[in-house]
Amino acid sequence: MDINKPNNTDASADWTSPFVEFNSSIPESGLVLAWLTRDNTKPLRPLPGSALHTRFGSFQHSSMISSKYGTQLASSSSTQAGFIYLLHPTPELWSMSLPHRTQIVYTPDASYIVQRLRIRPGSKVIEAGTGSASFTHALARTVAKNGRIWTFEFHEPRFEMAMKEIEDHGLDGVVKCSHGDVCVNGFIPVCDEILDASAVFLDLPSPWLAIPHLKSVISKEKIVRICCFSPCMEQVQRTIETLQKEGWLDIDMVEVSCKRWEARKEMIRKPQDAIERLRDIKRRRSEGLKKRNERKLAEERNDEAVSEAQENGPATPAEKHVPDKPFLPSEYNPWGKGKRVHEGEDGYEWKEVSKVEAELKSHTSYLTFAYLPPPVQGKDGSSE
Amino acid sequence: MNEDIIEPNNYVFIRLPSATLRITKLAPHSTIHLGKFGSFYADDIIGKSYGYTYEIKDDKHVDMIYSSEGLFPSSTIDADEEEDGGETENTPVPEVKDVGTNENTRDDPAVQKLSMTEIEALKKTASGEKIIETVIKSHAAFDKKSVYSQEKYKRRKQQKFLRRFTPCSVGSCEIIEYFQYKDHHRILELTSESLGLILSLANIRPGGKYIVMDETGGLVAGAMMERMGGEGMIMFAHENEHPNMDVMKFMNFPEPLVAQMIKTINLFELFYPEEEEDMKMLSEDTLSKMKSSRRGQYYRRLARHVELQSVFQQISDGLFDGLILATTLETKPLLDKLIPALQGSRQLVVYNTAKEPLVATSHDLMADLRVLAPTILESRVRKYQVFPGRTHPEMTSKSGGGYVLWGTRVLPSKVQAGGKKRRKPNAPMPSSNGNGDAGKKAKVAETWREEHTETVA
Repeated sequence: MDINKPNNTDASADWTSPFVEFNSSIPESGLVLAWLTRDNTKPLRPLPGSALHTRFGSFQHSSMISSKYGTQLASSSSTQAGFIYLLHPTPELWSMSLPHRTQIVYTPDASYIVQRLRIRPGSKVIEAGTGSASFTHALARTVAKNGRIWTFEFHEPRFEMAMKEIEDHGLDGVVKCSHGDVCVNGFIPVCDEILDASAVFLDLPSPWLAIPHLKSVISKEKIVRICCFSPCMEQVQRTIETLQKEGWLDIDMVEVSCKRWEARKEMIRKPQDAIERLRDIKRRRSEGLKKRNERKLAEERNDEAVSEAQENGPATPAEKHVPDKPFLPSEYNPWGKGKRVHEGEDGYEWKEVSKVEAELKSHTSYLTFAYLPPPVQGKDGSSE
Repeated sequence: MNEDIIEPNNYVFIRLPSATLRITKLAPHSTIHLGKFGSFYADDIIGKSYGYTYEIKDDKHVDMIYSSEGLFPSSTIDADEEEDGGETENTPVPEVKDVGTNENTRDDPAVQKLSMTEIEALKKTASGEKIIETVIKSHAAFDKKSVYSQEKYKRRKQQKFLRRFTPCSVGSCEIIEYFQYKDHHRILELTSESLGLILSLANIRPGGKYIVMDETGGLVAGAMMERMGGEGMIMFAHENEHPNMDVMKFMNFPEPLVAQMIKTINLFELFYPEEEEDMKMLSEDTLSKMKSSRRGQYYRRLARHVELQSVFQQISDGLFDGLILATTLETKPLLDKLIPALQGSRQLVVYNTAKEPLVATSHDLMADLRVLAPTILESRVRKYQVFPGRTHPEMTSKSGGGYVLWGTRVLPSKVQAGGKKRRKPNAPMPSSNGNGDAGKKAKVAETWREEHTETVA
């Protein structure tokens, strides 16, 4: 089943897009993001008779339909008693779950770019390239039904997939996808609209080639802002040269780095306890020695008695060396050494701590921002 | 609120060459004073588009500066070099013989031949550019500087002597820039990256119904309004008798819009709605006999009462679409009260200048079956200077930015992992020290979650 295609044609589809509007209950074939674990969210459209099979169990689609978004759904299989959560799509959750076709713009960068480009409901935005359309969804959520996003992709299969996805997500009223190479041919939209964007986002290998083509597709009435997203410093340097040539002002380059901190618990282990443990070891060792000596003495006395009794008898076999008994089992072990201790488990003392996630995204891209003031109308009506 | 054209009686954010920032109200026919940078007539810029830079003339009128110059006339190093025909494959690192070094510079105040009195006299008669030209000419050791050093010197003089300014529309970005410079604690040390992250994670968009506790003087609520385009509602909870929106007032939202979208409620009203007195309704007859001021007072109280009842209803119906907390008040009691007000699968975001309170909240939430996947994020922006041969991150930057905790409100199932019965949905959160019966049940949930986390740190 194609998770991107809604099957229903009934009135519940007057809810245009979960990315632009909220809904309380899950309609049949409505888009649901099934949360399995932190790193595993699966998009699906519930249809009667279908089921989602995971290692936590099977989950019947029919249980999802008409449930509220946010429902914690139990597995229908008797053997595996797991859960999933049925979440309402948001651009952030979508970027975590979508099938990557290209490297995407992650939420820390995307949210910063939307903030700095002053994207508002009703804003008109140009985006190139569309890629996996992750950022496109974030833009659509903010520009909403009165805004416009003209997005360009030069890779034909990716363009097809993006266009289909945008349509299936109910965003085609706002997002206009075009296939083309903006670096070579400029920004020529497939639809019949005149482009007058006030915000531009370029995520291209060579943005300096596309920038000169922007003149004819940006607003002449107001400030236009641009953000260029490039992983390499060399790209940034060439982009900035071109922005300067084209008259863009306030050119600024930054990089965003975002860390995730985990809330963890660390066991409190007092040095005094470690000392006590050593004291305990010492004590048991000396007790053990004492006991062994006592045993030996007892055995010797025994032997003497035996040898006396057997003085005229056959020679006794050489005394076997009796290995010392192992230490007494109740060892001082305040930290559960050797046991599997869960963080926060009862019986131990814990301290709340934070630890950085194991895999850091140390670099995504450099972000270059600039703005262009509207052309000044000369006294004779001409623009400078 | 117009972000494109400078409107009369709006607050305007003014950027000056010395990296000074001002926020000024532009009353028509008034004179705006910019201290040592001079004064100008507000009427000269009212009605113009934002985005232009102006030079103040002696007669207090302004000239619009040609757009490509902006606040600083472009330097010879920054601009493109025409010598090699324009496009280069890679921006080459300039040779030392071309740019020079500081080998022969010596620190000596005597190198500047102009005296203070001479400079003061110049300031009265010459334009900013002329002053700078003169100051540079009378610098005895200017040529001994490297080209970069000369640029830096020129830039410093520009910052000091140029009487230029760029007016900007006051949005959440400008508020942050201004308060970062003036008093960062006023806005709880928020940065653009943190605020942007909060707004996106909370899924703020037109038509949504949101709850916010905002101790930044209304910056967060104002930023939410920027993303809502006049549609939707913001319930602004606060701890005072009157909500503090001193910062939001700079954002020029029309009063009717604020009244329509923002519903304020204080903590007492929020926690004890039943103590809200019933409104004594007056008959038409009584009203007609009252003084108009008393009548006005009555209608205002009535409107407030109706609004409050509506808010109470929406809280108890659990119909809100998102929650943002940006407050120094303890999070736990607030979340306990407000989580039930959220619909299923809606986002909650808590911002704090420090990480530790969010770690404690995160532990509480991990044991709370009503919130999924609490996540603490720290987002920081690092600025770079990009010049051929001199590209590197900036040497100093401002701190701030705080930490952001994000979770999703979910509707827990009646049966939990292992067949144990769930806690009542509105039961207070278990304490996070891992002891006691509540702790035990929470441990079961936590263990299940641990086992179902694919990548453990």
